[in-house]
Amino acid sequence: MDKSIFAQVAPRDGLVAILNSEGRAERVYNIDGNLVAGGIAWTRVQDDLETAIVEVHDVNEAVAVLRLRQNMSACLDMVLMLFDARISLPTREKLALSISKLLGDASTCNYVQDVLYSRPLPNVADHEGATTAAKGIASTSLFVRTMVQKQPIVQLIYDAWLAANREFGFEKTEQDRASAFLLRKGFFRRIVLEVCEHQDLERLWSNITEQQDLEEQCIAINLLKTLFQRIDLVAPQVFESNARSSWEGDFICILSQYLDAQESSTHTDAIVARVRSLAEHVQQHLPESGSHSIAVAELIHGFSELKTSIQDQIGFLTGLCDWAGLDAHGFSRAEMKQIRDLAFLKNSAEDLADWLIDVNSRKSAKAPEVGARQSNPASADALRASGEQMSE
Amino acid sequence: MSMKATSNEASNSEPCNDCGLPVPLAWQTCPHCARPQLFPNVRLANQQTEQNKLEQRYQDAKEFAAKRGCTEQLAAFETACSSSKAVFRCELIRLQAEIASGTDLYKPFRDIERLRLRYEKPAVLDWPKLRIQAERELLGNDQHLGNVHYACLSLNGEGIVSYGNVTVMLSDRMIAHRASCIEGNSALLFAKNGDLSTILRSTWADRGKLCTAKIATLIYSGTAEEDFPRLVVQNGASSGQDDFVEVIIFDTMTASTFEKVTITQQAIDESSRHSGYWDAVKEVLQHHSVAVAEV
Repeated sequence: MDKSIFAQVAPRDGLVAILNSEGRAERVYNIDGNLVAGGIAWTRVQDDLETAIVEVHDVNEAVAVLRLRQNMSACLDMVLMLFDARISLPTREKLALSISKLLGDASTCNYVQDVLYSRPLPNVADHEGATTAAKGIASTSLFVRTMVQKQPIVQLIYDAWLAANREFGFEKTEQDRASAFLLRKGFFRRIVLEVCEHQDLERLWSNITEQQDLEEQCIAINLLKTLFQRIDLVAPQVFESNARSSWEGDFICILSQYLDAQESSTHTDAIVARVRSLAEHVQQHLPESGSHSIAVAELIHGFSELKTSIQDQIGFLTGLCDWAGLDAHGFSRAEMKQIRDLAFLKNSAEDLADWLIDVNSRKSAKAPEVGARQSNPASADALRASGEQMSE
Repeated sequence: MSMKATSNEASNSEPCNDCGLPVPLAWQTCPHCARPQLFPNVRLANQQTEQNKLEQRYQDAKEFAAKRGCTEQLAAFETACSSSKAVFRCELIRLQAEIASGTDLYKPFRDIERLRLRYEKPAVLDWPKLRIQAERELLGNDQHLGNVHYACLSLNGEGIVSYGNVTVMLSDRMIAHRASCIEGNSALLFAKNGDLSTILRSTWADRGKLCTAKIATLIYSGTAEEDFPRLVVQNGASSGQDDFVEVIIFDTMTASTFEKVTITQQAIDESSRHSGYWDAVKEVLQHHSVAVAEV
C-alpha cells in the first residue's frame, strides 16, 4: 500500500468517514459514495461505538468497505430472522433467497459464521421453521443445516470459553477485547469447523500460535490455551457427539437408500406369497394325501428361502443399528414401519413353521406313506431347527 | 467497597430514596440497601442544581416573552412541547438492530457484532471519541457507555432527516421514566463547551419547560401553532445547522418500545436488494402492535 488513509466505517448507519491525521472525520460519505452534508453526520460516525477503523487507499475503497460491511450485517440479520418464529414462512423463504446471494461472498459467509459459531443459538430459535424456509435454496439450506447440526459442538466450545474466562478472572473489558480479537481472526468458527471436520486440535493450535499478531495479544492467547485444555477435557464428549451426529446422518442415508431400493423386500413379499399359497394348497388338499408330500417339500424350500431373506434383512438392520449406536427410537416413522413389517414377517414365518410341524405330524399319524415317511420327519426336524433359529 | 461516604462521593451522589444514604449518580442500585435507584440520566436531571438552572432560564424566557408581548404564544408553545414525542430517524438496518437488542434470539449476536466492531482498529490508534466523553458527562461515568439511545423531541413526528429514511416514534409509556432531555446535540455541545455544566437538562416531565427556555427567543407575537414543529426540530441546509432538543433514553429498546414506524418508499426500494428484509421487520413490528406507515 503506497499511501494509506484511515476510514471509520459505520455499517448500520450507512456512512463512512475519511479521517485526518488526528483521527477527526474530514468528510463523510454514504453508501452511494455521495458526500453527506451536515454537522451531525460526522458525530454519527465518529462517536458511534459500532464503527470500525480501517486502512484504505482512497474514498472508493472506503465506500466499497462500507458496502461489504453492510452486506455482512444484513446477512447476519437475515440468517437470524430465519430462526424467528414471529416471521411468516413466505417472508422467511424470501430471506433464504437473499441470504444465498450474500453467502456467495466468502468474507460475508465467514463473518456470519464467525459471529454465529461464537455462541449457541438460544432456545427460542425456531430450527424447524428455519430449515423449512431454506429448503428450496440449496446454499442457504446447507448453511442452516450445518449450523443446526453443529450446535452441540458450539455449545461445548462456548462452555469451555466461559470456563476459561472464569479461571483467569480477567476484567470484563479485557475479556471483551480478547473475545473481539479472536472473533475477528475467525477462531471460534475455525475451532468449531476443525473439531467437527478434522478432530485435530493440535494442528489447529499450531496454526493459531504461528500467527505473529496473536503473540501480541497475551490475554487472548492465555484464554485460548485454557480453552484448548478445556476442550481436551471434553474432547471425548465432543468427538462422540460429532461422530454420532455424522454416523446418524450416514445411517439414515444408507437405510433410506436400502429401503428405497426395496429389492429385498419385494423378493421377500414374493416368497411370502408363494409360501402362503402353498400352505393354503396343503391345507385344502390335506385329506387328499396323494400329492401333499410334494407340496410340503416345496413349502419347506420356500420357507427356508423366506427365513434366509428375513434373517438377512434383520441382520443388516441390526448391524447398521449397532454400528450407528442407535436403537429403534432413532428411526423415523416410515423406517419403523418397515422394521415392523419385517418383524411381522418373522413372526409369520415362526407361526408358519409351527403350523407346518403340526400339519406334518398330523399327516404322518393319519396317512403313513413311503414318500411322506421319508420326507416328513426330515422336514419336521428342519422346520423345528429353523423355528429355533428364528426364535434366537 | 467502603460504606462510608467521603465528601467527594457526596458531591457526586444523591440520597437513596429508601435508606437516605448517598448513592453515586451512575449507580443503578444503592450500595447500602441494594434497592434499585433506576436511571442515572434521570437522577442527574433531577439534581437540585440542574433543576435550579432550568428554572432560572425558564423564568428569564417568560420575562423576555412578556416584554415582547408574546406571553400567550410562549404558553401555547410550552403546552405543545409538554406533549411532544421522542422521535429518531435511522437506516432500516439500524432499526433492525434496535429491535434486536432486547430479544433472546438476536441480542447475544448483536452484542458480539458490536464488540467485534468496537475493537476493530489499527493498534496504533487511540483517538478519543466525543460521544464517549459526552456520555461520561451525561451519565456520571463510563460505566454505561453504549447503553443509551438518542432521539429528539418532535411535535409532528418528524425527526432529523439526515439520520435516515426510517422514522421511529417512541411510546411515552415505555420511555417517560428513563428519558431525560438536553438542549441540543450533547456531543456537539460537549465539543463546543468542553463540558456540559452550563447546558440545560430536564426530566421527561419537564421537557416543555426546557423547550420554552431554549426556544423563547424564536417566539414572536405572530408565531402560529403550525410554526412550532420547525422551531423544535430544525433540519439544517448545510453543515452545523441541524438543531433539536436531544432525548437520552437509558437502556434497551425492543419493538414494543415503539409507537409508530414510518418508512419512505425510497428506503423500501433500497431494501429490495435484500428481498424480504423490510417484510420481516414489518411483521415483527406488527406482531408487537406497532403502527407502520409506508409513505
